Amino acid sequence: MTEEELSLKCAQADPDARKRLYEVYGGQLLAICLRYIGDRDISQDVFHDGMIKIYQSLGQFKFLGEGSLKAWLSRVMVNEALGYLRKKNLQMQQETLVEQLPDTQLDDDGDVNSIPNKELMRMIRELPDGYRTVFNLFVFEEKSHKEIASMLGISEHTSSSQFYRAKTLLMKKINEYRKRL
Amino acid sequence: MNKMNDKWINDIRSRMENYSEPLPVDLWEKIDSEINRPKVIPMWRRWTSVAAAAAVVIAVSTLSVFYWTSEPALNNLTMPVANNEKPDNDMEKENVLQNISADNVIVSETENKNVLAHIPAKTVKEDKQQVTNPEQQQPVLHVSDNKSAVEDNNEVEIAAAEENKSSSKERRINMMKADRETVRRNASYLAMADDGGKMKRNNIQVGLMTGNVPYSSSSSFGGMSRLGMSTKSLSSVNNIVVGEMSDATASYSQMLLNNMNKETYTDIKHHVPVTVGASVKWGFSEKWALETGLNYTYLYSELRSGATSYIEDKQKLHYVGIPLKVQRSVWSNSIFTFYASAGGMMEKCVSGSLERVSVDENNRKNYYSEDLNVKQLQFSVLASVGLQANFNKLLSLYLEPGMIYYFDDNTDILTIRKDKPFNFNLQLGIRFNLNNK
Repeated sequence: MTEEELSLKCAQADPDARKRLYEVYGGQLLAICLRYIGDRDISQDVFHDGMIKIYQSLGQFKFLGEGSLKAWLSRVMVNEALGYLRKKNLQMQQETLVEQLPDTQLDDDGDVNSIPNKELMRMIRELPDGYRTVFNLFVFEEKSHKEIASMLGISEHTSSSQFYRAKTLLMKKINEYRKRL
Repeated sequence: MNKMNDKWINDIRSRMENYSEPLPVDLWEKIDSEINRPKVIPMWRRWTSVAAAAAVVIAVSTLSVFYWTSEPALNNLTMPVANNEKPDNDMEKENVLQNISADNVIVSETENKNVLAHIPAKTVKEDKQQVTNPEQQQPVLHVSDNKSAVEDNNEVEIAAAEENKSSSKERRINMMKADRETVRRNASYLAMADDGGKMKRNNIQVGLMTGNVPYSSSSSFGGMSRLGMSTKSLSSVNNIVVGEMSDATASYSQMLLNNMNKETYTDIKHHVPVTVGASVKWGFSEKWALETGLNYTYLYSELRSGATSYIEDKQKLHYVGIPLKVQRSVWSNSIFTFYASAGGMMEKCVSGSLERVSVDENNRKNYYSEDLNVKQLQFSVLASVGLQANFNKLLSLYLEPGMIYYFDDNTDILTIRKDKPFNFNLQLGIRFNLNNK
């Protein structure tokens, strides 16, 4: 079944296609929730809601070539996760914490290639909520700080400084992990 | 530096982009059952179905009102009994007129006018006719013959009407049974559809409330009136004096006779109704909720009617009602919820009493009391907006101002609901959230 067939059949509520969609993309979509939210139980709840939303609105999906289905699914899931985070409204609380973090030198490039995916995921999950959101949007959704700022209702400066802190913190974690090897 | 940064970001992105998490075991079954659920719930969110539901509610309430009110209509078949009064009444008047000497006809006419000031115009006219056509008075015996003939006739009619009534009652009961079954089926269907859904969607709240029409009503007018029963004209009183009746009715009739040629007035004061109740609110979707419960309402009215000789009535009515409301949340933040609500209520008077003091010209007081038995149901519709303040996850306080309309329950009992059927309504209460999520 091609991506296009799959999306069409899902839109027609074909049960086999729905199950297949879940099996093919579910894991990646759950990973997105986890990456944004951190907490596993909440991530599963959000993932569940996001999947329902996906099945309900697949009729609106327009196939634009290979990969467009995955991109669309990811976008729905990211929005679901962001919706949850917005409700929790944690970005604001995070801003004060930002300033208290110590700067680390960036001379070590924090090479990620020697880190297993699972560990990398754990490290991202362990980032404070506000950092993590900005980090995810900047790295994975490839949003500019301007876009992130308007999405999260924060200033552009806050977005870039939170990203910087997130990156610093993540590099620190990576370096610590490598030292332990 | 920037290049290095970009490389680092790209590395992370490429590493994590296709990263997949192991899926929890039974999550698919949960999602599958939810997406295959019949599309009942989403339907509620659409305005068209809401409009349809509103139309059904209106249709049902109108129909039920129609059916409840059609019972008195059937009773109208027995009306010839009331017409019976006429010949009887004529007899009375003839008695009066026989005491008047023939040469005093003109004087007696004016006197009669005074005496009968409070008799409806029709009767007065008849009276005049009789005064001016004295030859009509002659066949007294003939009139009473006529009367018994009419009575015979009436008995047949009453029997027929009662038969008619009981069969329509049966039909109505059957219909109500069918309706109730449909409601139960629908409810279980909804419950089934929502079963296995997430608990926070299935939000149930219980509450306590109070409030009602927030002010009393008083009116004052010339003439005589009473709370518990239909206003009687002197003609029917004349008839009743010789018939069977309750003490309270007798005192009223007596007082009517006493005040025959006096300027009379009536003051009615309906006190602020008191309502308390318990409610259950079921949020069947994020925005929509159904609320029902059990209400108790106490209506208290006072009446003073008459002139120097007068009666004072104290009427107490106790109602138990079941409201059914649909709520839609309009706006909310972490503390406040603003919602609109519409629905109807069915009330039954469970007990009622009338205490009467009649005072005659010599200031002699007579006390009576009478139980009021109201069989008819009181229907009402209301629309309101509500503001709910959520103190914590468990407790919230709400205030619900709105408009209410009470349908005519087709009784002769005067209440604030008869006086002002369309009224402002204010409700105040607390709700407890049963779901701790």
